Amino acid sequence: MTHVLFVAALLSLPLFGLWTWRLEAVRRADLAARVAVAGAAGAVTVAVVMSVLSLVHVRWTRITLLVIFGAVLWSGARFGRRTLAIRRPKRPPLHWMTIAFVALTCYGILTARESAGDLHFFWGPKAIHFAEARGIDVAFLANHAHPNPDYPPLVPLVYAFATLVAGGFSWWGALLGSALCMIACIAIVRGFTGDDFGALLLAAIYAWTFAVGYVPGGADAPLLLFETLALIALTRNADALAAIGLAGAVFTKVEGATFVIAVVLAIVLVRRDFKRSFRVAAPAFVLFAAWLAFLLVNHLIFGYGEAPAPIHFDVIAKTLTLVAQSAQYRIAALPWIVPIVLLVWRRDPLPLVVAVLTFGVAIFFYIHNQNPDWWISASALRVLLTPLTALLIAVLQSRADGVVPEGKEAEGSGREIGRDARGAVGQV
Amino acid sequence: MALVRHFYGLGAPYFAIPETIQDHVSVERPISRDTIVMARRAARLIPRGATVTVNGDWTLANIATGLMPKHAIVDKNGQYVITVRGSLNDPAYAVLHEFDEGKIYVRR
Repeated sequence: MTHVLFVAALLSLPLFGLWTWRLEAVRRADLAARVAVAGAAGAVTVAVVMSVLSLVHVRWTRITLLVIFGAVLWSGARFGRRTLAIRRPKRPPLHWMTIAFVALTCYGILTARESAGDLHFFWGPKAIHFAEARGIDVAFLANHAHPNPDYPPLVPLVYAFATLVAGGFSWWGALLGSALCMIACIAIVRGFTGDDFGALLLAAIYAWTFAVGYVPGGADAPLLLFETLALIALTRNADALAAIGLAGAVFTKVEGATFVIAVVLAIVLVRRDFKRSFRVAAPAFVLFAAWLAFLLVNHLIFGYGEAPAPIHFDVIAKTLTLVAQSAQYRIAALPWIVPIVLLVWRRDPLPLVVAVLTFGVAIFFYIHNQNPDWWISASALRVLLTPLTALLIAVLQSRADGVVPEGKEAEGSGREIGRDARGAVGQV
Repeated sequence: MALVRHFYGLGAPYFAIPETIQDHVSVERPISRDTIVMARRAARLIPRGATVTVNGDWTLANIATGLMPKHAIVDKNGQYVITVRGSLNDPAYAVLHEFDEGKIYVRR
C-alpha cells in the first residue's frame, strides 16, 4: 500500500502546478504536455513550499500540507483553466514504439536492473530523515558522514512529501518517479514540437542511457525534465515556462546551476539579449541564492566549497579520453551519432550552444581532480545526459501541430492551422 | 534489441519481484543488495535509539542510514555492529544473529 500511495503522491504533483495552464504556450499544447509541465511546476511548488515551511519552523504535518497544497490546487484549478481544445493526430507506428521504450524502462526498473546507487546512498536517506524530522533536518545534513549534504533539496523534498502522504518511504516508488520524468520529457517534446520522431528518438535514447547509466531513483531524471522544459520553452519563446524549468534545475542538482549559466550565455550569444537572459534566469538565481544562504547560515558548505580547487591541466588528455569512453554509452556512441547526423538538416543554435557549453563544463569540473578515473566512471554516463538532451532538442522539428513560436512558420505537416482571436494555434 | 539483450545479460529471474532495488544491477550479486537485506533485519532486531556501526566502506553505512532512521549510525564503536559478507574480529563484541548475508554483533 505504501508503494501505491507513494506513486500516487508523485502522480498528484501536476495538481499543484495547474497554475501553469494560464501560460499562453501551455494553453496551446496538447493535454499530455500540459500535464507534464504542470508536474514539473508542481514539483517546484512542493519543494519551495516545504522549504519555506522549514525555514519558518513550521513542522510538516499532513494537515499543514493538506491545507497549503489544497489552497494551491484550488487557486490553480480556479484560475488555471484552459480555453483551447488542441487535439493532435496520432501517428500509430511511432506512438507504439515510444510506448514500448517506456515499457522497457518500467520493466528494467521493476526488476531492479537500473537502480541508481545514489538513491540508497543519499537521496533516499535525506528524504527519510527529512520526513522523520518533519522538516529539513539540519543536524542530519551537518553530519559529515553523510555525502553531499549541500546538494540542492528538491528531490529529497519531493520524496519527503510522498513519504508523508504514503506513511512511509517507497524505494520502488522513487525509482518509478524517474520513469514518470522520462514520460514527461517525451510528452513535452511531442506536445510542444509536434515532432513524433523526435519524441521517439528521445524515448529510445533515455531508455538505453537510463539503463546503462543507472539513472532511475537519483536526481538526474528530474534534472532532465527541468532542462527539457527550459530548452523546449526557449525554442518556443515561452520565457515564463523556461524560467520554471531553470528554477527547477537549479533546485535539483549542482549541475543545474551550471546549466542555468550555460543557458544565460547561450541566450546572450545567440539572441544577443541580456535582458531576456536575466529575466529567464531570475527565479533560478533567487532559489540558488536562498539555498546558498541557508547553507552558509547553517555551516553546511561542503561540495560548493571545493569550487576554488586548483585545475590540473596535466590530466586534460586523460580526462578527455575517459569521458569519450563513457560517452559511447556502451553502444558505439549511437545516442550522439543520430542527432549529430540530423544536424545536417536541422539545427536550433540556442540548444546547440547549451549542449557545447554543458559538455565543456563537465570536462572543466573533471579536471579539478588529479585522479578523475573513478569520478568519471561513476558519473559521466549521467552528467553527459544534459548536453545529449540539448543536442537532441537542437535537431527537433517544429511541426504545425506543436506549439509554434510567434512569428515562425511550422515545418513538417504543411497543413493549414487555425488561430483563435488571441493568436493561439487551433485544432489541426 | 540492445536493451533487451542488456536486461537479459543481468541475469535471471526475469519476471519475479526482486527482494531489493539492487538485486540485478550487476551479474554478480551486489554487496549493496546484501547490505539492504541486513539493514532491514537490523532495523527490526536492534532496539530503537541504539548506536550501530556498519563494518565496511562508507556506502554501506549510508545505506543503513536510510533504512534505519530510528537508530544512530556511527562510524565506530557502536553498541551494535553489522557485518556484510564477513565477520568481526573484535573480542568486545559477540554474535547476536547470523544470516547468509552477514552478522549482527552486540557489545559484550
